[in-house]
Amino acid sequence: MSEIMKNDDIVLQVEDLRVEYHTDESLVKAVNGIDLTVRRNQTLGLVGETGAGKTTTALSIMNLIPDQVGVIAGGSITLEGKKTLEMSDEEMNHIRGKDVAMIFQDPMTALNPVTTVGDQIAEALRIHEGLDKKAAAEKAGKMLEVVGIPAERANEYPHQFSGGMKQRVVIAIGLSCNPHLLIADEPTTALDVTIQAQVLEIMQELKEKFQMSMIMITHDLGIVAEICDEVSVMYAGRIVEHGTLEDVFEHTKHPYTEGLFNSLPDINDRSRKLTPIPGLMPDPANLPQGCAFAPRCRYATEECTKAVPEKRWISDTHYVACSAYDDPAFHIERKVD
Amino acid sequence: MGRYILKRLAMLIPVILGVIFVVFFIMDLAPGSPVNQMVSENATEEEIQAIIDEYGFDDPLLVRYGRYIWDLLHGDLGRSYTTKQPVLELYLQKLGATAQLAISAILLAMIMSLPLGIYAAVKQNKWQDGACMVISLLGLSIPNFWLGLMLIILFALHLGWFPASGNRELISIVLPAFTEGTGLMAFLTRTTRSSMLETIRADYMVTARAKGVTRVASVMKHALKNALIPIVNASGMQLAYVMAGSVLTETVFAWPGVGRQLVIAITDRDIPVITGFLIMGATITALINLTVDIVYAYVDPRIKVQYATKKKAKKTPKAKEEKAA
Repeated sequence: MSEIMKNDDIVLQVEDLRVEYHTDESLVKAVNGIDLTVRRNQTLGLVGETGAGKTTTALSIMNLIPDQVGVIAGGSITLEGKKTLEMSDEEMNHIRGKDVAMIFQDPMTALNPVTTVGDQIAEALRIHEGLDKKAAAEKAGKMLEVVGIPAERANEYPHQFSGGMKQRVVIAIGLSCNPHLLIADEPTTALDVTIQAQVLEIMQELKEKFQMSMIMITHDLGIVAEICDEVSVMYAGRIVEHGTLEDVFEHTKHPYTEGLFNSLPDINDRSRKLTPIPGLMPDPANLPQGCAFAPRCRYATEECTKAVPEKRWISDTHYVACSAYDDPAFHIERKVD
Repeated sequence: MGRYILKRLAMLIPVILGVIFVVFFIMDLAPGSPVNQMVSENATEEEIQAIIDEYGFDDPLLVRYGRYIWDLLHGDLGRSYTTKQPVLELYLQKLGATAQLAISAILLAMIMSLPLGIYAAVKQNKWQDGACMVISLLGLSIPNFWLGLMLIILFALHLGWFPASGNRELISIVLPAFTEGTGLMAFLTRTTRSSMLETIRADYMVTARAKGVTRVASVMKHALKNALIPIVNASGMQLAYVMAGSVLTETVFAWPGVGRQLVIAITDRDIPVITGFLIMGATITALINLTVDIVYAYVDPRIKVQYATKKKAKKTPKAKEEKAA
């Protein structure tokens, strides 16, 4: 693949992004130099525990970091050739919702409770497509039908919908202006398992229909396996392992990724004990000097606490940030057949 | 909804009975007798006794209370001891001026407090926020009667822009409305700010911004609409308070309203006027509260549903009874 073609294929490129939250008491380093690449019509899974910096990363892409405390300390974000971090808020208003849209974790609070769902969908259409009130309302009704809600319910308020229906409405808002990139921030976490499957199915279906690229933020490896093409595993504001779905699932390299898999129950081997990762994620206001995962890592050596491990490319598509691989004989215990 | 309004109106009855009883009780405990105000200085014992008999001042408290309620049921609030004018007529005469003052003051307060409160919330913890809060604190801490007098000295005496007292021309409203409005403004600004602080942090604000809504539009459209409930509530309370008669402002500006008349009645121990005005005040307060509750339903669709569910909840036991039968 030539370099030019490769670039043309990239919808979003995040390079060395650093985000900090400045509070009176502390400096929280939420995102510490991450790289992400999303290709056209592909889905990138961003996996990690609560507090790993996934949502902060997503909000940075939208350029919506809470501006009283949050600071983008460095790096660049290129969305379809446009450097979004250098754009003014005014310029970003034309991009948000049109080129890149976002779906939120909690549909119960993501919708404005005093505005009808139809108006909430129509709002984006009126801003980006310049539709008049009537045309926007009409298209909003169509969008509701796209996500499986009868158009006549457009005049109802969010409290008249169930959780799964609300998330469909949030999806309809996100998709209303045919964005090229959709960021889904744990879109199913707040939903029942049966509803989760429905919502995921709709998203997958619409992603293909609208030819979108997607970033799926989740802590659920099952969802990743189901819908992602590539996976980035995030820990304490850094990407510790990245690769294609196959790379990460079949040739797991990072001890943290291994820990995530070991925490999953295995229906074929119920005698196997769950092995949760011991300890907690370090306080992002007080990160350890070396590898942030070292205090919880069973392979950790003294080397690990000295410096932040560099990226190590395993193949063209797969990298891991772990200094244990300095030793060519090192391998993690997880075996995949 | 109609049923809810009826229920609320019915709840007015015990409130009014309570108000009458409390007023009767307090006036009974107060020293002195209204008779002294009603007879000339050199009245004879017989003349005094005649008046006591005529008005039944010697009857026990409960008897007078019962008699009053009976008259009230016939729409009669009694007559003023001093002017012999029917109380209801007197009240309605004074209500216009008070309503005029109350509505101008509350409108003025809202015009000032909404922008101040919204701006303060958006600039939370910055100097602009501090400035807005200082303005509102000033409004809260400056006593009305003092501010009124200062305004009269400056704008009526020195500059001569506005009349110092009375309600003869339209322009007379300016100074009293401003005086009354600053006090109301302070409270409303604080309510607006704290209510807005909650809503501008809500998740749906991020949803709106992610759609491409501008910062200003997201605050004015999404946050404000959600912040309105406490603001409507506070405005209603303030309006009720001023409608009951802003005694100080009306007195300072010799504003011919309910509050000033009430002060005159109290000095004269004109019990029918005091009782009647207090009853009317309580009724108007209750009616304003009811209006506020109805406005809620239009501001927040979730509340409308609550009214509907209340109805349904009432129907269920009935349905059960029918089933049991």
